[in-house]
Amino acid sequence: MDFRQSLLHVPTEGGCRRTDTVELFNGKVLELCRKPPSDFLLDTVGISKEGSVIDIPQLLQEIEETDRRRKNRAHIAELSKEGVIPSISISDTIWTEKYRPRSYLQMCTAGNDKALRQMMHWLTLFRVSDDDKPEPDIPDRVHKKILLVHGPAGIGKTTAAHALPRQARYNVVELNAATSFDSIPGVSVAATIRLRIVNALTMNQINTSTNKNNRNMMTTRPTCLVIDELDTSIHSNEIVRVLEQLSKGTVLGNGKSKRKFVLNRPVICIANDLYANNNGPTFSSSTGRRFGSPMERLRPLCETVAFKRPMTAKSGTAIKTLKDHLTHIASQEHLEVSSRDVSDIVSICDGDIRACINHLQFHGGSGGNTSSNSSSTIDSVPHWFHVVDDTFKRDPKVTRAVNFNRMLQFYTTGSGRASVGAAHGKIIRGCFQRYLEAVSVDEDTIVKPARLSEWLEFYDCYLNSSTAQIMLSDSYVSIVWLKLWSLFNTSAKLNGDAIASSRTTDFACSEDARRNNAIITSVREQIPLGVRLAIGSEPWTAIVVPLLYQMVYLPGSERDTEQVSQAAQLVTALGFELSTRYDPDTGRDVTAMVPDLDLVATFGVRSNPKRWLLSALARELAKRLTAEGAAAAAAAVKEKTEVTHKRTSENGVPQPPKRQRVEMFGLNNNRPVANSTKGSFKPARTWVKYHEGFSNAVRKNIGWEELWK
Amino acid sequence: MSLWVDKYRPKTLAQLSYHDRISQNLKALSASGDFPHLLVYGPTGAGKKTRVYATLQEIFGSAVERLKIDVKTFTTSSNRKLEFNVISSPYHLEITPSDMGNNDRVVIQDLLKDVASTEQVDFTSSKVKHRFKVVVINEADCLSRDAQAALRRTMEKYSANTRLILVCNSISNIIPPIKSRTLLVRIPKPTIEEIGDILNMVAKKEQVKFNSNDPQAITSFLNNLAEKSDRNLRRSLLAFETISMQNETIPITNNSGPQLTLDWEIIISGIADAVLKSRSVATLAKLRDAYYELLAHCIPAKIILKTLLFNLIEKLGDSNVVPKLVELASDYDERLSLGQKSIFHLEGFTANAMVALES
Repeated sequence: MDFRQSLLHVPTEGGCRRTDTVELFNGKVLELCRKPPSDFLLDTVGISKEGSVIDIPQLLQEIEETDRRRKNRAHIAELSKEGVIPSISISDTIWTEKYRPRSYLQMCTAGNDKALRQMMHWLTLFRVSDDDKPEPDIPDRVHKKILLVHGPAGIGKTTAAHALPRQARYNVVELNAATSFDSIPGVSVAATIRLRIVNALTMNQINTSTNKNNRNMMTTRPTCLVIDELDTSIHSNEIVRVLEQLSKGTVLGNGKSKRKFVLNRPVICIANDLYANNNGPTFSSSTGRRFGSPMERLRPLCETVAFKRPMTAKSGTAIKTLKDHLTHIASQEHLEVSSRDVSDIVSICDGDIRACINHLQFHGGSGGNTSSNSSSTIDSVPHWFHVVDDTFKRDPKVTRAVNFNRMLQFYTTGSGRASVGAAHGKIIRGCFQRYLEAVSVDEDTIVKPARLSEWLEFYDCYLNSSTAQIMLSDSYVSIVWLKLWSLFNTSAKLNGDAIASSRTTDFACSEDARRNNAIITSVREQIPLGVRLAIGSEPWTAIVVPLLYQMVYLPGSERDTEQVSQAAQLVTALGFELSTRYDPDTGRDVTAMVPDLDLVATFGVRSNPKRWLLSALARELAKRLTAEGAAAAAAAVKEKTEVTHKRTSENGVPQPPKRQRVEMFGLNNNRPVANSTKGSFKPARTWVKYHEGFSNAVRKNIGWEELWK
Repeated sequence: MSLWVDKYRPKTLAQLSYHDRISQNLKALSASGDFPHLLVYGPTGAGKKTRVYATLQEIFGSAVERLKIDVKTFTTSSNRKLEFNVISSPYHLEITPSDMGNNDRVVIQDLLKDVASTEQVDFTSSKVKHRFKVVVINEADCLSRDAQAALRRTMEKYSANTRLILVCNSISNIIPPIKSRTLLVRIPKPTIEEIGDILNMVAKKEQVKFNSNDPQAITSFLNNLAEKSDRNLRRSLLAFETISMQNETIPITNNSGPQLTLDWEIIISGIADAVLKSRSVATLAKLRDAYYELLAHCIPAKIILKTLLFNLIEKLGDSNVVPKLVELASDYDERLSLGQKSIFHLEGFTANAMVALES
């Protein structure tokens, strides 16, 4: 600090109004004069206009920041002095590629640990014996041979689909919209796709190992097919058709080379939207049978793994892992970022890992200044998140009118206008999520929410009418904010505790609604035409589906065979099916109705008390099918139901009829015999999972004797 | 086995049980072998479609029942491919405009042109040769203004070999020119007794067992059911089938009606209770979750609003707030149909209803 700033100082020239004389201990006499008030030359840094309070945190932050900037600069200077090319200024790869994880452990999980484990589990289950060329379909192989990974953009779906198979010793072949679906001249698009997929699935990559130890060793790796961006690809229909055929095991080739195709390589499909229904017919005109949109047809063929945004993940560590990942990258790039910057970046990018890394690189290039202000203004527009924040803030130091004018300035002419225009949907959603809290903190009155509803109506209805859209897009909408501000501004700090309304409810709600809508559409279309006509325009969701649900899911007990058979009759009459799928939460197979009525019709937490009914129904339906005597039909009852039967039979439920099982295993039995003549064949053993998901889980090796007992 | 709504659906005009005068008129109409364009309207579950099909049956014979689902492909001006389902028989086709979204104008125009340009060829029928084909348009009130405007010209131009039957719930959305070009047929709700009779008939045919043999008690039980279902015949039949599926013998108690409330109705009644009990921001926040839950289960927002209002009215009894609430609800109903974010308006209604109840 400058000496002049102290209140007392030795005068260098005359002109003091009042002087004091001080005698020091050594006898020297000093003339001191009081410094006139106008001479105050206080450093204004960190002292607010009112001149009373010093904002210590801000000061600290500034110090930290300058320190960091200095370090960064020093670092760059040092690097250039040494002649080393600084990685920051001339990095030729974008960081998202540079830091793309190569293995499972490098992955930034960001709340998707479970999904990743699920994928890995599926891949390891998918044993591919790579020495045995004409591979038989191992009975133990995963139930569904296609994996469907879905979730929002930028959270590592593609990365996982590449890194995990590589780790599981597969060679990844990717098909995506960008390159792989150009048609080969002279061949139709559908045929091209078919050719490419089949080629990818039948070849083994042979590559000379570059490893120093065994330079000349040849390694063969089976391929894993990754189909990216399936839902948005314009050929999704054709791709799904090929996958359908392959998973059913169609006959390939013609003439002599004819053989049955067994899908014995993992296929991973990636989609953003599980319920996409953008293009393509849902009916086949020739057969008159409904086959649904591509995604709808794909869903039953696949194990699905859902990736979620870290924001929506339940565990608190999700965001932390993402932050750690970013910090790690920053330290790799010798970039000093504070933890605050990192969390700012994460919140701005909404948990999108790729966007976060891009963001980091963008600021890394500019010498490492990522203060919260600059990071929120990548395109010199305040981020919507901050707009929402500001809407509920009031500066307590100035009057209401001044505050209001500031807001008005900001929204009508200032940079706020552009932001509002760009993201008004997000802003309004954010405000809507938070305004109740603002009211409850300030004064608990319901008059304000009531008044607000008029303004929300203005926003919603007028924005929706097409003529008003252009006019409204950015100039008038901001009025809603001003109103919001004038109603709800508060000097109190909102921290989200006062009223428990999570940020993601809106998203979760719309997601659920989409899923339920898909279910209802399939109910409508599966139901026989006569019933469909009879029901007509009655509200399906409100009346028809709940009643149908109550008709099928009867109260009562298992012993009530009459009711079960009644329900089974109804299920067949309505054209519904039962199928089993693997439930990742419990680790068991669950039987479910297709379409799943109870998802739509039941509210609250699904305890699923009607499990007995479903299994009873499954038995009943299986019995019916065998009674019809069609062996093919018996096989159509998903083989997996057999497994559930087996398991339930161990729990003391009466044994299902044994005839089907004989047929099924008889089929498998033929193959080993034929192959064993070659000598290279290891006898296929039947594995039975026993109590999977429980503490006494075993994989039992059982032979024919046990099965016949 | 099929659902009772399908199984006991009258196929001919003669089998129709109520609204005899309308049936007679329709019969007279079909006897002439020709009819003008029709606009059939009335509440759901009153029997509009049943009557339309019975009339078609009367005119064309049983061939109308040979239904199949067709897919029509259609390319819009922006070169997008559009597909929609058409239910058709040799003599008619049926479309639902809500399948087509915004393109309903082009689709309808094109479809009608298509139908009109192919003349009906019928060598087999011994009956009077019909030169025309019938197009049934469901939910005609959902047609956009554009589509309706396009219809009015087409209706006249191709009247030589097409006939339109528009089916809708209310005619308030239908533009006057169309109203004037069609013969309006209103199918009102059946009375409670008429529904009761039908349910009784079904009960006899299906041999539904009741725990009492007193026909009086059974009748009052069925009437009660009809009343609970809002005099909606279809809903009463579905509900009756559900009850009889769930109980082998249906217990009839004297005072309480059939115990069949749906989950979402319980939730809405809970919302009404909460509104009446405590009016605070905390309640509002709690109710928001409930609304989200309902919307996630695809319960249409308008139905939520309506049910909530009726619940409130019922619980308030004879109070002078009721008119105010009804006014509010009608306001918000309009907003629901104009806007898209249902949650805003549902919460807005709740907040306003709370304010109205406070004062």
